[in-house]
Amino acid sequence: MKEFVVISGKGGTGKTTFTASLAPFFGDAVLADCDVDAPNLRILLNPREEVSEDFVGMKKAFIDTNLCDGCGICVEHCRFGALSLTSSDSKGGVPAQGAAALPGTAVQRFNAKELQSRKGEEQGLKAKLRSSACEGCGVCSYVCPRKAIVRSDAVVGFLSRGITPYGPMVGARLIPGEETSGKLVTAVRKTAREIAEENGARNILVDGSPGIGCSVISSLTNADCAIIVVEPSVSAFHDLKRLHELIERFRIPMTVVVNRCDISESMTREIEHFCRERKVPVGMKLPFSRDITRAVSERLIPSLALPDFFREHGFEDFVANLIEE
Amino acid sequence: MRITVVSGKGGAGKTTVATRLFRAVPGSVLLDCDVEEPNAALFLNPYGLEETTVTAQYPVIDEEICTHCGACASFCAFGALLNAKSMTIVMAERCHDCGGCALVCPVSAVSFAQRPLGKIVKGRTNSGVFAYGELNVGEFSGVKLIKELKSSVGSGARGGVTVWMDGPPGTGCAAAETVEDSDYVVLVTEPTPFGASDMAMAAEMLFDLDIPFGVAVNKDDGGKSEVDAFCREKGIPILGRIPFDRGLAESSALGRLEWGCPERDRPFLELTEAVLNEAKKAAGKAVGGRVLNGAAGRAASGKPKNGGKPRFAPKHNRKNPESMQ
Repeated sequence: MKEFVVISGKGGTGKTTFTASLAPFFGDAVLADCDVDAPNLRILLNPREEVSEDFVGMKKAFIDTNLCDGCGICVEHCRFGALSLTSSDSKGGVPAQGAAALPGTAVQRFNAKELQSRKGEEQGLKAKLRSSACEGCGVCSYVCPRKAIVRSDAVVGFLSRGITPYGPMVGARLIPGEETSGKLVTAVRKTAREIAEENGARNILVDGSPGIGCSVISSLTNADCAIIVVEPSVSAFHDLKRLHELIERFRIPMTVVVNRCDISESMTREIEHFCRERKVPVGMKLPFSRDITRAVSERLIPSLALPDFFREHGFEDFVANLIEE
Repeated sequence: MRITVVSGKGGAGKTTVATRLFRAVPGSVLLDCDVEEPNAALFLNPYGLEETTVTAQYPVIDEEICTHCGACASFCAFGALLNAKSMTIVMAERCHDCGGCALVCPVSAVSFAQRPLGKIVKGRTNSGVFAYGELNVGEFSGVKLIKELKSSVGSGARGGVTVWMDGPPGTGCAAAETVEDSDYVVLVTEPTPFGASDMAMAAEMLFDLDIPFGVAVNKDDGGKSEVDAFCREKGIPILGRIPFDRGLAESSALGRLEWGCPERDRPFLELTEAVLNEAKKAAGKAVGGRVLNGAAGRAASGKPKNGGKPRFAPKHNRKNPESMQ
């Protein structure tokens, strides 16, 4: 079983469009969308019978306001700025936003420095958590003298699976603003691998995310081949160099696809030169076409909607080489 | 006033919009917070560069004192410490710097050292101060770097200077860190199904953070799209439309800003005006009644620094039956 990851460094170079275009030509593959904070593959592949489950990526702090006496020790120790003392009486059940949004509610908060005087107990202050800033380290529950804080599982996203005409698809969605995208990416890949083993699928095709941070690192770990979609621009070239440096460390074979190659012929040449020097094959070049944008707008897979255009530019050979390798 | 440009979808035109907003307001400041793949410098050619290394803290165990009791390793929520028979192994890149290990160590064998995480580069351009962060290749998270970048440059936001911030793509922790504390956000999108889907996720994040925002439609082709429908339904103002322009794409590919061509500047100048107007209106509204967000709100109300922190809706709590908050 081989796992192919489509990544780009710079966003918007055509990862998802290209992944969707590959899908119908990949034979018995499992498809996975690892761009968990901008999951778009499903828009083109349109999975049926989707089932979604909560993703518990981490633990977070939960404060029992009945036990909290507002001493502020947790606020002093939290290195992520996730805790503060507040005088708002949220009566336990009201979300922080709700209490804060009431006009005229006097919400006062204090940071660690202002707590030097620490008069919380006298003023009836309570510790309050800004959940998205919490990294679940557990320091607050350790230092709390009243045992008012526990660490507990938190849902940070959703993992879904469905069926497309081109194979089973696994997708995910991170709750906006959350971290642990890396863990969610790993969960998507693990699920895809399980399905592939069950079905005896030969390939896994993964749509990755932009950047070079945790989601990208997580999608590269143990992958068999990286397909880098780049466009001929100073930005994308700059990002390609950083991404190349990262992939080198993983010792994963890579191939480059230059999308919209006619936007700048000189930049395309520079990218080809860069790839030649580093012995990275440029597998395919695709010129700019408004028809691709139009196909995507109609939620069509470009390689199926524009078969001649793709064939002309060596798409079928590219796929054949990729799978046979 | 801090105004951040984000997009959800990569390649929608964040950097294009951010650099042009910056050029349109002389004396403003631009921070490129897309630390995984910072590109704005390629268009601005800043001079007089000063580099600062940003470090991350990690624990160092004094083996002469350490009794190998394993308390630190069992406390660490991130798996950064491993207790072996004769030594404690530290995996620095896994450390989130919560300080828990030092706290639980019964013999005070834990101290901290610094390792480089990335750099902040600050320079000048003809329009104003410009700075960017660059995460070292192989690092997982740029959140700390973004924090440092925001606090080290552009503190003039308190004194009425406009500070623009170019954000990372997506809606993960880096994007959330960038927009936090912003007075206003410009959400750049393109009128495609991908653009609309990613915009909806970014909008969800901004609603949760309670930060006022408007939408800029880039690569507009004059047609009606899902973007318009979404904005109408949610009452989000459309701040401007930048027509699709292949020529602009071609010069952007070469890193040319092409500022000074009246035809091309016009949509960006109109956008700038709309952004500044809406941002002022939003600041005025905040002063008028409810709890304030961001720097302008704080300045206007004289509230303590944490008084106006944006509040995240604690989703996890709502979904988690064990929640006690």
